[in-house]
Amino acid sequence: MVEHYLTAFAAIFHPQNLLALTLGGLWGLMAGALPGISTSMGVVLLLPFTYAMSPLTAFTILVAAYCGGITGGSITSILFGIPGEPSSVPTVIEGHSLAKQGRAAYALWVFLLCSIGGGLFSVFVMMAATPIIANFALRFGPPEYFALTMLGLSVVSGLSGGSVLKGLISCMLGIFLATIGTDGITGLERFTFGTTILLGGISFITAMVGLLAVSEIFIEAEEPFKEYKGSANYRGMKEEMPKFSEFKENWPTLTKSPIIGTIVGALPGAGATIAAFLAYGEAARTSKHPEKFGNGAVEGLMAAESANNASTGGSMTILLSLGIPGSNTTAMLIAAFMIHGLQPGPLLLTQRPDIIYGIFVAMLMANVFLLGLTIVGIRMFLQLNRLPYSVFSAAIMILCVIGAFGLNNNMDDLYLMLAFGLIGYYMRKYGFPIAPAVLALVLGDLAELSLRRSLLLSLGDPLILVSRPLSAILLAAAVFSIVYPLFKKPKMLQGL
Amino acid sequence: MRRATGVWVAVLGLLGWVAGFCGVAAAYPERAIEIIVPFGVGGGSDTAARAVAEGMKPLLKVPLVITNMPGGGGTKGMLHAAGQPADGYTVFAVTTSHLIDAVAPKTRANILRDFDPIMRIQWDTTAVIISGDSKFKTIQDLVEYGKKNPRFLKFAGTSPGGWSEIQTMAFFKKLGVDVTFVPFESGAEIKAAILGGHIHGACEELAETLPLVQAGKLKALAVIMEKRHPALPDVPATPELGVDYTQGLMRAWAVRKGTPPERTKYLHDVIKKALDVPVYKKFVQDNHLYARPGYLGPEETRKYWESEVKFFMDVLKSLGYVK
Repeated sequence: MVEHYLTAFAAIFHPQNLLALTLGGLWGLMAGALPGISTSMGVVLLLPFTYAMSPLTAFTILVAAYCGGITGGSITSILFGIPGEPSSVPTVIEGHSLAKQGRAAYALWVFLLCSIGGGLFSVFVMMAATPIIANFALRFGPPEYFALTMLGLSVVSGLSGGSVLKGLISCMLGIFLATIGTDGITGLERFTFGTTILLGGISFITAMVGLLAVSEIFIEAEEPFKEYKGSANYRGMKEEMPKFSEFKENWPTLTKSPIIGTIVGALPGAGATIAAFLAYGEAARTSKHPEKFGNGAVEGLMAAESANNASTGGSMTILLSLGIPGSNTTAMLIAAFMIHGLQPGPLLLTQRPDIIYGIFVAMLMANVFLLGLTIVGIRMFLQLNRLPYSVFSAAIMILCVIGAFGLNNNMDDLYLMLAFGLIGYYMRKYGFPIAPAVLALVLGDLAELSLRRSLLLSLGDPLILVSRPLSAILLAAAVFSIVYPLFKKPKMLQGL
Repeated sequence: MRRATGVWVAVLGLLGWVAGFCGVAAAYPERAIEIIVPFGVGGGSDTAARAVAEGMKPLLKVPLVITNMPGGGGTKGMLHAAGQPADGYTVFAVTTSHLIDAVAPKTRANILRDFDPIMRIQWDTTAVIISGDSKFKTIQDLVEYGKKNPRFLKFAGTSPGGWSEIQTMAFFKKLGVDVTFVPFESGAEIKAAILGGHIHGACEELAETLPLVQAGKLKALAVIMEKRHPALPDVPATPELGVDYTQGLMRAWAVRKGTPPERTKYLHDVIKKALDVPVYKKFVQDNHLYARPGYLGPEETRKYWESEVKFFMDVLKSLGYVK
């Protein structure tokens, strides 16, 4: 094993692979940062260029683009409030709030250090324990997925800001939205009103861009000539360098989140988005300052960023050990394996250890390279923050439109985005928190499907949910996290 | 006066039509040809379409653009393609899902009524897969258990009411077994659920699961086709089980009905040539699509479609999805 790593490290320092790391990382950052291009699309667009490369170089550039995409999505999230990927929604909620307080540079520092930290953590776990993680992930069947989503939803009260009641209403809205479209179990249409616009359901990105970014532009447009809050008391990268003590204070979040990210990343059908939300919710639940969540809580940003980057390693473990893609983007990597005549699957590790260890090392180096690349890139982006808001918001609106349209080249998504912009506008106006709606939209679909799948498996017996140890533990944790605050802090119920 | 205008319009129109006809007849294709793939990037339909397009590119002077338009089990993209002009610049990537949709169309578009096939390109093979450490050794074991315990066998698939469910239910019905179909979102989730022992098995396209079968993590009990598959020579084919059932997933390309025949023919010839290009041949090899002929000419494809739609109508009726 050691000699495999040594050969892999020797190979990665070949100038051609170093170039691949740089180019792949830059391309990924760009694709992630542009709302119209998702990480997986970024990797697909890169694929044809890898035909002529040696397998290791090809995987190096693709893996760098993959890690870059997950990282890049957060830059637009913090600065513009547009989630480039669904996994960056918590980053939008906390990071963008910080940016609006003039602390964009600080939020970017935290994001950068946490994502690279999370990414590196998961790479080390992947190097040490690929088979263990993959086998653990296989123990998650439909009942466990359901319990996991319940655990995710149980933190709604923590994300509700002032009023728990309004938080719950917002959560219900999200769950309702998740039921729209073709039903995943029977294939029948629900709430589509005979139109085709809703046939495919509501895509997360469209809804999130509308609810989070467009609604904010509407709100700000009420006072168009006011100076942008973000530029009013803006401070630069140097002054905003976070202190070590700030990370030390939040060590529980910083250890839990990458672990959550790595494990959830290995679950096919869950991946980066659910990892980010679970870690974010967990941080909100255990926080000493839950009232800060939704208004720029650094812990929330740390949790989400370290978890969504850690999911990259998790998702690679199940791909490399079993040939099962844990996410959309790793599904693209399967195509890359085929192009180079390799069969991703359990035999690959014994047949071509050079490739597997090469990929491990490439991911490690990609995270290191991204640190440098992002610091350079951020400076450029930060200048945008000094624009007057009237100009800035027009640019954001253009990005939102491109993002929603570019998703499927479909006008329907644009109409939906604008509709969600309006919904978000009224929610903000009347003090309904948006985070629970988004959380419920993401988790609602998986929760419903996995519940119904569990019941199909047990032929209708609900005991399947509690008779399996893993699912019972997760469900108990969910119940605990709902009940516990009731006894701890009666004032959390003020809104009821 | 009015009448004179009418005549002028008619003459001008006729002239324009003739001119246009001559002009394009000489120049088709003169701009980019768009291929509408009604599924997401990276899926089976998408990679297949990209492989064919890769083979076509050197043969064409104009660019080929692949547009992914997922949603509604492939019907959203079909509706879009049905709304494009019938000029041969929009090609639609059809799969068996669209033939199933034709039984009870979800949208205003109907594959048989609104499209003309250019050709059938691929005809895939389904394998019946269970976990490698399952107690069932042969398909007979599975059938015996299934007959004794109706609905106890749980089989996973991807498209409820679509190809995956129909293939699974129709196959087991032929064997006289009543199984429970559990739909998942993707092949990846299904493989993980089988490996984790959460579900008994699945009827999946062979290439999807082959690496796991070869590694012994999964077991193939049967292949659904006329003869044994070269990639799995030890696995019995359906006729050996005494079952007359050889249905397989089909991929074809089509144009809007009313497209000038010479354009359809031009596309047909180019695609046919592209199927012999090494890039595409490698794709066929990698995806084990060589076991039975994929290509069918336009007329044969239409006949094949019509008989498939009739078959699916019967299955859907017996499953209670349509009355």
